[in-house]
Amino acid sequence: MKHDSISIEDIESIAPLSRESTEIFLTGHWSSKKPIYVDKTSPCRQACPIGIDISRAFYEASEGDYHEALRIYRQDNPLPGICGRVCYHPCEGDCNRKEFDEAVNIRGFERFLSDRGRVNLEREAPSRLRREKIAVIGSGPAGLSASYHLARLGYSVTIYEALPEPGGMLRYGIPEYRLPKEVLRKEIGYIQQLGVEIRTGVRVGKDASLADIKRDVHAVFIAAGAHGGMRLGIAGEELPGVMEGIRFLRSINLGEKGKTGQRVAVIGGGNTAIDCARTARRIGGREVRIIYRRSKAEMPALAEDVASVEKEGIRIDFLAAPKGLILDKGRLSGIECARMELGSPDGSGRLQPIPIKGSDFIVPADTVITAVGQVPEVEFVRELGLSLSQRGMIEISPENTMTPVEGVFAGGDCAGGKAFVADAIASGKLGAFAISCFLEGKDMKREFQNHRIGTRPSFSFQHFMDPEKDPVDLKGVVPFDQINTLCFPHHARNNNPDPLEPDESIKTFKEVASGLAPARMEDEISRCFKCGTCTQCDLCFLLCPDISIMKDDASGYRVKEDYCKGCSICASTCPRHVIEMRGDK
Amino acid sequence: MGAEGLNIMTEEMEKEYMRPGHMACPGCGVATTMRLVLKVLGEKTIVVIIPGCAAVTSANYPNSALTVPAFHSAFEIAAPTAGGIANALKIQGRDDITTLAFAGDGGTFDIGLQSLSGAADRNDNFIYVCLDNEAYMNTGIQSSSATPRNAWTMTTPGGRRGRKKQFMQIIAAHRIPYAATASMGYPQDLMEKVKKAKGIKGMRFIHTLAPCPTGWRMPEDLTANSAMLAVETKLFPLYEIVDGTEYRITHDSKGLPVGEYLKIQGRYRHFNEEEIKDLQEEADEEWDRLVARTKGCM
Amino acid sequence: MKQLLSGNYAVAEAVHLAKVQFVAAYPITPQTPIYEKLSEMENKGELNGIMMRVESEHSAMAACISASLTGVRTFTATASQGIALMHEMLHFASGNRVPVVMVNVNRVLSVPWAFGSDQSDSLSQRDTGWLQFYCEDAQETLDTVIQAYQIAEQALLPVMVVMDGFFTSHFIEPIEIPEQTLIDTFLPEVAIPRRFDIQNPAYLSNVVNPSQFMRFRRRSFEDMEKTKPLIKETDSEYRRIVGRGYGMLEAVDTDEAEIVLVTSGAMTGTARVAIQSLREKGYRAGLLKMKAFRPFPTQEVQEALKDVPKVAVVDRNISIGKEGIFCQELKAALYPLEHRPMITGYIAGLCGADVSPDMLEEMALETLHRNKPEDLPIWVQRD
Repeated sequence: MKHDSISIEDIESIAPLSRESTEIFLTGHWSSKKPIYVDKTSPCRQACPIGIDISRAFYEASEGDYHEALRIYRQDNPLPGICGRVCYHPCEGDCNRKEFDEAVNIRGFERFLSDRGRVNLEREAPSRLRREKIAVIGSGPAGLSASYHLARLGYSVTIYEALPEPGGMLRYGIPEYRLPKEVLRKEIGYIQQLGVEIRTGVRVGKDASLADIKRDVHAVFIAAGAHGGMRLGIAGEELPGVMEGIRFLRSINLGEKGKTGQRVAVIGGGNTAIDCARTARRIGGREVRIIYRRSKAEMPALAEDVASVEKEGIRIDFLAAPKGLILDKGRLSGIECARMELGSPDGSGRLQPIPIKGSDFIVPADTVITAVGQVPEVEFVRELGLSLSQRGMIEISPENTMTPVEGVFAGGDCAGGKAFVADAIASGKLGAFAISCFLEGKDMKREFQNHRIGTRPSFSFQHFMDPEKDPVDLKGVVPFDQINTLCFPHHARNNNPDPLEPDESIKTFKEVASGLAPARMEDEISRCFKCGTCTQCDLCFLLCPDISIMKDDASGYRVKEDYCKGCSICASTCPRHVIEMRGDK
Repeated sequence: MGAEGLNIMTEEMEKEYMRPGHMACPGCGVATTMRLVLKVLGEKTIVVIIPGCAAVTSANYPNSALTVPAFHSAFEIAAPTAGGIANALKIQGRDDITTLAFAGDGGTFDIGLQSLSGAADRNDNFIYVCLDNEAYMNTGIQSSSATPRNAWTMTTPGGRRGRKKQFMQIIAAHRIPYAATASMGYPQDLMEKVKKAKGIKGMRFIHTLAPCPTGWRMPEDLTANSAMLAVETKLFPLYEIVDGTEYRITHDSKGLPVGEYLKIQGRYRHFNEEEIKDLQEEADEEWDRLVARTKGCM
Repeated sequence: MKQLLSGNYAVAEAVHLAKVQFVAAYPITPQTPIYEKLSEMENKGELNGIMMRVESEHSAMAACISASLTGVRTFTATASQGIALMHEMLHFASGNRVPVVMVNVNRVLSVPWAFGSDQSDSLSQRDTGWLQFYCEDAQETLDTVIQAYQIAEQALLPVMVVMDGFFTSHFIEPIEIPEQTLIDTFLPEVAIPRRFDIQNPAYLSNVVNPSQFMRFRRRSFEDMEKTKPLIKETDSEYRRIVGRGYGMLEAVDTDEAEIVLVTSGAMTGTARVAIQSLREKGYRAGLLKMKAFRPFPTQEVQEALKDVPKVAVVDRNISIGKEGIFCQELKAALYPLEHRPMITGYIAGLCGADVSPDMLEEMALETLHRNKPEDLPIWVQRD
């Protein structure tokens, strides 16, 4: 029954009912503060001499794309498999995670990518070929790096290598158990596939003249390394039983059958000394020891390599230095050493060792290997009028690798660079950059500043080649106090395992350390904070009380400025400091 | 869990059921919590809201910030209102629609406790989400029984004497199928719990900590961080109670000192060493009790 | 089909006949048998829907309101302290414009504590925007409850059906229970608007500004006025189909009466005897039974009493600070008349105190012989 006197068909007029949207209220006017998304630089990237975009690589890997992560590494470093095994990892030294629990195993990550990632040379090939030809002297890490980057820029590159195979110290200095030759073959192979020609067995200054080479090319990059071992400077150094370390390692790596006595003493404290000791251990040395004039803290070798030494039963005598060699019936039987104490710092900044009077002692030894420093063997550069420093280094302007001779650049160990693989690679990269600026008439200084990472002497090659792609604030380095550690649980670091027991590993030259297993690598990747790289974790999107951050396929996130009240929860909660608030309240 | 890849988001959950342009204070924890809950529950939801910040911010006749049907009920009756709707839907054969009640700490711990207890006793079929900002914030920061001990409010200027009511214990005593604590500082955990609740029939209760920068006297950008700190200092643990007896901790607290949480909030500025120590002891003891309960020791 | 039933059980039958879908209730004397009877029906599967056994009357009304908004036919019953507790929710129901039907079994409001019939509980709610009907006996209560659903669902206003505690609720009388088929003809299938619409979502009942508020209130006021013809039509329809009707009020022998007694509820039955007796004694005595109280049947009251010189209103209630409530409202309704009867108010039967026919006779005669009206009501009780 319906009654006429009341007609209630429209509920809205009898009781309050709201259907219209609140979007007519533009609450964005409450504040002029709005968030912007700016990817920044991680401290590991700034610390890396090569300037690898480590954070971004970890991000891509966390999304499951190891190949893309590898590609990111290779934007700056063509030799990740090598660095992933032997680098001194300054990245880990500055890793923000170190302040939270333990640094991320970044070196292990680099190795993993190289071992398991796929290289897509098509993406690395130059977009256009240039007519200029470049010559590179030396196929060590500096020369390989320079060649790689020059080839990617489109230049035609020829490397002149004195030894039978390419690699320089990578092949002839670092033993197989630390860096398998297979890795070299693979990574140098990629460089060759990009069109770089390597002429081995050509010693410049003997088999070819530098002037002749220079005449045929538009620029030369000299990266001949430092293959001369320094002498100890004590009597008897020329005796049988006394070997120079670099030559010793080279001979082993050339495939020659090496031999030592049973009691081997290695003089020195760097990685060459360590490698000599561990090599000697593998080829017959029963009692192998290292004699080093400073203490453990000053030892230049990497801590993990020192640990390997101790595991392999090699003893280290700290604060001891040889005074003279002792013979018995014309054969080497021992070394007379003095104990040292540390005095004030010397020119290099390290504490000067001072012999303690009356502390002499004898170390029994039938073999002595000296590894007390390396110098370049680059007399051939005088042909072009280049001068050498007191220590035999080619004189260059370090900020651009230029020598006084136009068109001639030099880098790596032969030009006085820091004697680490990563620094040599960085030097080669800088050389390629400098040569490119030189040939194209660009202002090198300004270009460098544009692409420089933070305040350290590395720059982004990616940025140099294409500043518009994946914009990043290269000068904005994310400090630890800007990481929102509330978002992360504590978790122990995953270290690369040594699958062999030390007494097994010393019987072979098989690689001692192995890569991380995929599950452990995944775990370690999740430990990386990915400082400054937006990982699309969606926290900003979900936590916005005003539904003012939208997800956008193209750019990740988009802010609805009409509604954003400027509360800044997004910026303050972002785990990795990607969001900044601009504008005043 | 940390911020590594939220894997609960489905295509459904990309949609929004709350609109911008609402009148919440900048940095409002209640607004975010409501938004996340609605995201999970989706379109087929009827929402009951009672007087408080949630009501005043989500609608102002004739505009609504919600895109699902809602009803502004009276202060103490979120629970029977939701129960009435749930029963009516059942009668109509429409119980694919979720009934959801939002109530503040005042409407849950104090004036609404009786009716909530009745609904829990009847195991009425709806989800009750308590938006706990630890005081009557909408009326200007007056203390409730959810206000922590010694905290400042306008009606407890010398600090509140009572302890924060152990509300989950009250709920557990009713033996409802599902109860949980959650916080917008951990959106994945919150959304997982709402999703779980959605699939259960009967009474479901979620106690969320929704920080209030205005009332806690805190900078408005610290809402999520303070919510995380509450959990990491063990003051607001994240856990579930199934059938009132099975306890499960869903986030392992880092055990940060309570001072980390207190120092960012003006309502605790007056705390002296003694009070901080008391609070630390309280946090530690309650956590230990909770852990014991997860092992079946009641 | 006649059965011997108490008023409470008659109400339960009415709820069953009306095919109510949702009941939320809380026990309170003297309503409990309604709640129990409905529970029994539910247990046997005879109830058409769901019973929600709530933990307070306040929650009972809350649940009825939201269930009604969802679109189901709802019912609750209460008394005394219960309806007082519900007070906030009564405003809520009328403000939300929901067709909830409630039976209130009159019982005195404490303090002092007592249980007898007294109209102050229901009359205290007169400003809440509900329709209110006062029933004389169990049969009328049953019939009114069924009519209430028709009225409520047409007007979208809540309806309260009131009966006396104990006198009507508990005393047994022969009740005609209508056939279900007749009621199905009278009451349509439930077509209560479903205000929660997923497809077209709206936010109900949120905050308005003062001028918006006034507009909504005025609309409720106007719609309440419009229920007057609706009530009459509904009653006629019911009379036509079922055979019984009651009107908004009932005038008995008021034509040319010299004194009219005005009563409501169970007392009316006693009043019928009283005026019979007065007539036999030669007095031209009449009776006006008040049924509808909200909306107040102003026109009908004016029509019935305009030519009556003296009126005695007997209130089983008191508004302290003024007078009996039916008396107040009656005086206000008669105010616009050019010639107004002289009205005396009597307070009798509070808390179920006995009101006998001769007491009513005395009140009528006392008014008849009075020449000046009294400001204050006259209290009548036999100790």
